[in-house]
Amino acid sequence: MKNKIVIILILMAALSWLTRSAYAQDAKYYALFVAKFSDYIEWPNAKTPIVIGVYGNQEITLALEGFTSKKQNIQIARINSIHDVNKCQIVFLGDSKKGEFESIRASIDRKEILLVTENESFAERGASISFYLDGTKLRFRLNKQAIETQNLKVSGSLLSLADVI
Amino acid sequence: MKIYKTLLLITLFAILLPDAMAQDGENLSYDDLLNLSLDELMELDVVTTSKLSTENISEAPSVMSIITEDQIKKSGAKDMEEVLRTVAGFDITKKGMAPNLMVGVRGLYSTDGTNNKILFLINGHPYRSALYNDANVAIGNYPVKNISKIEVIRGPGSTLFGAGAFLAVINIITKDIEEAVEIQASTGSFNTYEGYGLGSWKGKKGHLKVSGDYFSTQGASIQLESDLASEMVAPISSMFGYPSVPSAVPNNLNYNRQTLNLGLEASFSNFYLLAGRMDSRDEPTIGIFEALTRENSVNNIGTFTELGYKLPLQDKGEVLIKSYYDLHQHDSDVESWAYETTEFFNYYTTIMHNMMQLPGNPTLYQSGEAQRYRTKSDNVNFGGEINFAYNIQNKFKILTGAMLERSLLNNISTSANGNFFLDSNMMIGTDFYIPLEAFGETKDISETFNWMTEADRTISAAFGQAEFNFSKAFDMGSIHNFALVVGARYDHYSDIGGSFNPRGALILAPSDKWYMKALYGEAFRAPSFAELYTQNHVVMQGNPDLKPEEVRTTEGVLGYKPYKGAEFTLSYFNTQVTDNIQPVYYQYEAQSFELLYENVGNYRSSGFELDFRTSINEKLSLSGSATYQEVLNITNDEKETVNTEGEFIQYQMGDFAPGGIPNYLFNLMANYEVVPFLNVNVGLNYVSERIRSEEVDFERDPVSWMATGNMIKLDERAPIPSRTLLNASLLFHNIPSVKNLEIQLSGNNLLNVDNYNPTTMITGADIQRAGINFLGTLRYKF
Repeated sequence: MKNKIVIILILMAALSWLTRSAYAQDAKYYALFVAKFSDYIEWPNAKTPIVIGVYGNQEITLALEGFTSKKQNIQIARINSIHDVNKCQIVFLGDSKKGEFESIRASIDRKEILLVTENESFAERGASISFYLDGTKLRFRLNKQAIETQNLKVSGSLLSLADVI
Repeated sequence: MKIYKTLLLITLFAILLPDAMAQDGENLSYDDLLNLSLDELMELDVVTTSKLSTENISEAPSVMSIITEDQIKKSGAKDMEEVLRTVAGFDITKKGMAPNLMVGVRGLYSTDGTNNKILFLINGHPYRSALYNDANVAIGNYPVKNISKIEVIRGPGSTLFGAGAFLAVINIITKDIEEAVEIQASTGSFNTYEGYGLGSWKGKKGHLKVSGDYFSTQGASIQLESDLASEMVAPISSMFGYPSVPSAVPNNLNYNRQTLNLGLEASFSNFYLLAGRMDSRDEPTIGIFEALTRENSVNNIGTFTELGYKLPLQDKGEVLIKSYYDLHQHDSDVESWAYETTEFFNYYTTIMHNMMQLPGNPTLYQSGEAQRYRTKSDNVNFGGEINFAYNIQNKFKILTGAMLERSLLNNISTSANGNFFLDSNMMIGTDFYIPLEAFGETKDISETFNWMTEADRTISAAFGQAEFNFSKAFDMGSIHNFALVVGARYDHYSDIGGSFNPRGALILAPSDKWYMKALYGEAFRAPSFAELYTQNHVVMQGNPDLKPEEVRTTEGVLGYKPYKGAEFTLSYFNTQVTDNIQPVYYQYEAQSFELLYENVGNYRSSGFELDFRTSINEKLSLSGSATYQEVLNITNDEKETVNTEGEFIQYQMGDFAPGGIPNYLFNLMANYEVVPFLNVNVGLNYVSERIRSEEVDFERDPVSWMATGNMIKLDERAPIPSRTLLNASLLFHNIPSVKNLEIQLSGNNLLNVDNYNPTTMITGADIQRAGINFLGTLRYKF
């Protein structure tokens, strides 16, 4: 029996090493920020409610769905494939799908879509906003040029809160 | 074998369970959070602990696990046992004779029939009866439907919480305020029914939340092949020529339970009110003599009220002033022996009555009448506490406070329908009864043979904890976190004396991915009123000379966050308990014995705990824990007696395994969202075999009770085999057009494996637990 336990532990370890998606205990906060971003961005041609699509993080999807009954100007869409991103005004890319970042970025190029990523390095590679943790606080990097390329207008107050690159 | 060890080592470094994360805004509703501006949100600590300060849990000076409402719901757990057994290092058993769950932590357990080494909190309020100094039945009977989060601190917590935070602290956080009404209804195997309702409202200056839960079950059958009546009374009865076995075994009886839980929470401005009441009626099938019995009723009513005022200090800290009043009422009306045994008592007392040539005839039990024993008591805890917390730019944090509490035990009464003593006569008024003789009616014997004396105590305490964060105070280059936490608490009990308990923690995170903790803590447990003052009891006798038992724990934690959100921890623990309070069995002659609480025994528990929680993809997530623990009795007691030759002989005990404790515990839970409206959850709970106690004692001549000179193992039984419970749950939610409705079907012990818990005194059987069972639940939110 001892050997069985060791084998099970090894399998668990292997799974842990192989997986790279987030355990989103803090999903509620990410979802809050994403929902709040809709108040600071202007979509010249979009109608409300603003559609937020989440790709690669189920916990954030669920958390956002929890907000929709309280925040009337947003609507949540589930993204099952890369083609679904074009129906959204905000796309959140979770780490489990980070390998598809370049494809998504190309797919939404110059469209009025705000691309927010869980991975902190993507803002430097063309994402609109990327999250990172500063100690216990949640922070975000904002790529002003990328947002303008998407034909979106960002408010000054959001710029003042962001780490602008 | 070598490869396993190598792989295990790799695994231990690879899988380091998340010291679970909690959130600063955890107590804020969605409305509250949405009303915060983005810059206010950025000031929230995403990761915090709950207890009086806002620390990152990887920086908290303790080993902690958190179970969320979402985990509880998706797992389909119907009660606290099914929830708590998933915590690393936790072994949950039921003794049968007591209605409580027995919560073992890292291989150490509370005094039989209690959980007096576990501190159980409801929203931070200690739920604790003064009689047993534990949460009594609440720890097992608390409705899981009302839980938002369970925080579990493994290891000693006396520095912040005082006595009783000995092996672990379990803090129940009730559901969030969502300005909604929620109802739930469940039904399942064993005629189980449950109804739950929650309503909460929020205004500009305060909130109100009320909850109620009613749970009723016929319970799993307890199949018992042997009990103390068949093992202890039967040999005596055959000596007297009694023709049948005076016991209800073998038999299969159900364990009934009904619980009503009511909760009230309110706040206005800086004031808050917490109140709760739990009525529990348990019908354990094994009586206080560990004999199988039929008609038992153990009623416990616990109420608590806490009123507090929080004064913010310019966003730098807080002063909390609170007062509380708790009342716990116990009423245990149980059969001590089944009617099969009292039929022998009639036979026995008739013979003895004649032998003693007593006048008249002995009083006899009616046909079908069991020997009954009823004890009642009320106990009250009331007091106040002031806490002061201050934080200087996260470089230096201080938490200090003081408390004063009074505990009262009163309204004690005892009634019985017979002389329950095996070797003492009873004189009640002018009536005389020989051992085991019936009274002919139920008599109040509180005047002469009350089971407990009235008691009271005053407890005062002062505590303080300081955290110095060097990495925030000084430029330490790439060091992510380097902090020292020191704390101490002094408690004074008017009847026991004082106890000083320090703790310290050194926390180092060389990067944001790795962290290490070295922890040291001491804790104490004051003897309860029951341990001090029980008297005239059918089984146990109190000991007013008891002193507090103490524990010292050293812990090491290695944490790893390989990528954002994924967290693993490995914990090492070494716990030493000294002056352990436990019932000591004294057998003076073949038929004369006593169980007396004594400060005897030192124990050492050491081992590893490993947890992990991660997502494979957006649909599939895994969580689990594995524990290795080794417990030894290290008292090295010297046993002495006189042998059949009249010579004084001694035996020196070495370290030995106390028995009944599994070395390995393992949990694995997989959660899979098949489609957006269907969630499947599968869980495995493995407990390794439980070997019997390795304690030896003198072999004795059955007639003279003198030692023969040989040593014998006290418990020769084979180990209780390992068992694996497979549990699964189907949750239908987010159903299009009825999003507020959820339907759940869950199954427990789906492989219907044998599941036995160890008994205390019975040697011919163990306690059988539930086989396969199901529960269906409907939830609706308005």
